[in-house]
Amino acid sequence: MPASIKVLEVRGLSVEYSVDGVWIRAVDGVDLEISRGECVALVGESGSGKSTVAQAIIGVLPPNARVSSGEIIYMGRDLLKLGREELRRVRGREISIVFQDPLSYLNPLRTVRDLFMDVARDHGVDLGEDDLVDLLRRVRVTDPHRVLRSYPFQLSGGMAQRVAIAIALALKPKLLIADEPTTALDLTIQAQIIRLLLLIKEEMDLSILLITHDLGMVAPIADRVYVMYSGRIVEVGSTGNILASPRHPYTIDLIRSARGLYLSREAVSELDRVVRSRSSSRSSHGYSGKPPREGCRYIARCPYAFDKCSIEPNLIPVDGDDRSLARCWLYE
Amino acid sequence: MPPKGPLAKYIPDRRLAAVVAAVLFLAIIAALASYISDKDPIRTGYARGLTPPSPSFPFGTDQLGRDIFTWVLHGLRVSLIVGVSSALIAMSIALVLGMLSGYFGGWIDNLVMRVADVFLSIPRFILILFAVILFSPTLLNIVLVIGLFSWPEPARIVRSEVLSAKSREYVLAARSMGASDLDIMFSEIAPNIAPTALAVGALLVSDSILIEAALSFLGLGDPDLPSLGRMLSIARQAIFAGGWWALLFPSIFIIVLIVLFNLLSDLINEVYNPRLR
Repeated sequence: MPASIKVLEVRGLSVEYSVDGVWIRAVDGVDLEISRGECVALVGESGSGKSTVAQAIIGVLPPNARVSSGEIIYMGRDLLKLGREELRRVRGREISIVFQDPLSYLNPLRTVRDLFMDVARDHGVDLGEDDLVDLLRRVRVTDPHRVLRSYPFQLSGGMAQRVAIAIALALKPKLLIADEPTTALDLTIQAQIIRLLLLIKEEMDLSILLITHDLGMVAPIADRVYVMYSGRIVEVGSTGNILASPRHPYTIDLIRSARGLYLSREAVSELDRVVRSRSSSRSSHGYSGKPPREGCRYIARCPYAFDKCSIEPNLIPVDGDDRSLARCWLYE
Repeated sequence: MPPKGPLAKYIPDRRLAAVVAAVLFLAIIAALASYISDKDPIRTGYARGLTPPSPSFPFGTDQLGRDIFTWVLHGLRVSLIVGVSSALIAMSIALVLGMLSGYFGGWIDNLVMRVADVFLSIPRFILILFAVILFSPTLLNIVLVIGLFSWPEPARIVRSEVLSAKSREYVLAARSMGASDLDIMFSEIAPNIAPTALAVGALLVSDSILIEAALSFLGLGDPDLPSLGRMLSIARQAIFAGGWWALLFPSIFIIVLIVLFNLLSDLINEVYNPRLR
């Protein structure tokens, strides 16, 4: 992997939500980095905190949430230390975002042209007719002039998502956050959108943070994957490694649950070997009872849990280097 | 079947088009009152006392020989001026305060809503009555007083519309793309509350017309102006001498105005409100 410029570096990010006056930690000490031109996937189930990470990065956390610690370094600047107005200028222009359901995230009372103009005006940029047509052609819209005149509800879901992507790219951002960009779309359209993101990434030298629960869409586009569970990063690695030989039991379960993805035979035997080598220190197969406060978050659902799991491990290198890490005692 | 023509894009409903046309028609009559009738509305002695409708006095005359037709035309003008201007004043205040209150919440919201509560806890007509007695009852004062006392209710409606509009996903999307608070208020929220604001505005016009009529009926209107309410007050005496026309014609015009603006409000809500479509 070539040494390259870090576009975004998240260090020790913790976010808490206030629920009935109690602060609940939804994101706990997340480290994450994205290099220039890299696509990084943040994968996890609902409630794992992955979308909260995205909202924290662009500073649009809901009013009952706060960042309790950490740094979000974008191109050398800590976004958490920026003023309101400075941060506003970063959003949309430097870091852009595409959301899940394009039809509810595009104002139904504005035409596509208005939507482009809104973003341009917010940042004091002029976008001419040619720029708009060019942007829509980039996202492979075949009749840009008609689409510019349309209201979002007159577009199909896939078309609306292309438009949302075009709007997100209108001011040539360096980083695009795609928060479950295909979840609300048909299966065939999902593939098209993923292919489109890949093309645009190459064309515009874009970095992408792809947030998803769907490992199937990670494979074709992401360079590296962060797996998140219960507010923690539990595994980091290259996409190839994680899909072929996942290490953390949660990642293994996640891959098993995904349609059309199977663990390779080598991965299973490797896992068996690791688990057997640990069996001497194992008290029981599986863990029953209440998860201890200090323990591994996955302990209650983990089939490999043993006595040491009542203390939460750090991210442990699993391949002898620090590119692949898993938060699991099996690899100690 | 949707109507055709260049206006169809803005008024996509036949009933609404008819009501708008009727309102415009009345407004034109009111504006051209001096040309339609060459008589002076408040001059007495056109006839000798109360005379029934006839070709030279279509609506008859009152007990002082004033021409009721001319009076009603000019009264229509007063009603529309008071109705529309005080509704504009009230709606402007309501839009600004409701928007600030709903969008920012917190202490601004508390302050605005508690002040609104104070206003709402006293019957509006009584407040207006005292204010008009306190200041001199000129047309301008009446417009200002009605306008300044009518904002709390529409402000609450605007606030609740803003509250629901600002929690929409596309507002979060706009914020995520770097829209400022002002951008969000104007581009994302305003278009969504516009239909409701228009409907509430039309209702305010009809309210204000009624309040003005009631004030002048009680003798608290501008004494220099022929108002529909004041003719009703004059008709209280005329009616005992059999002068039903002095009561009938101004009443018809008040009723028509009120019904038209209420219809306008309902139809605006029905035609433009995306949630009812």
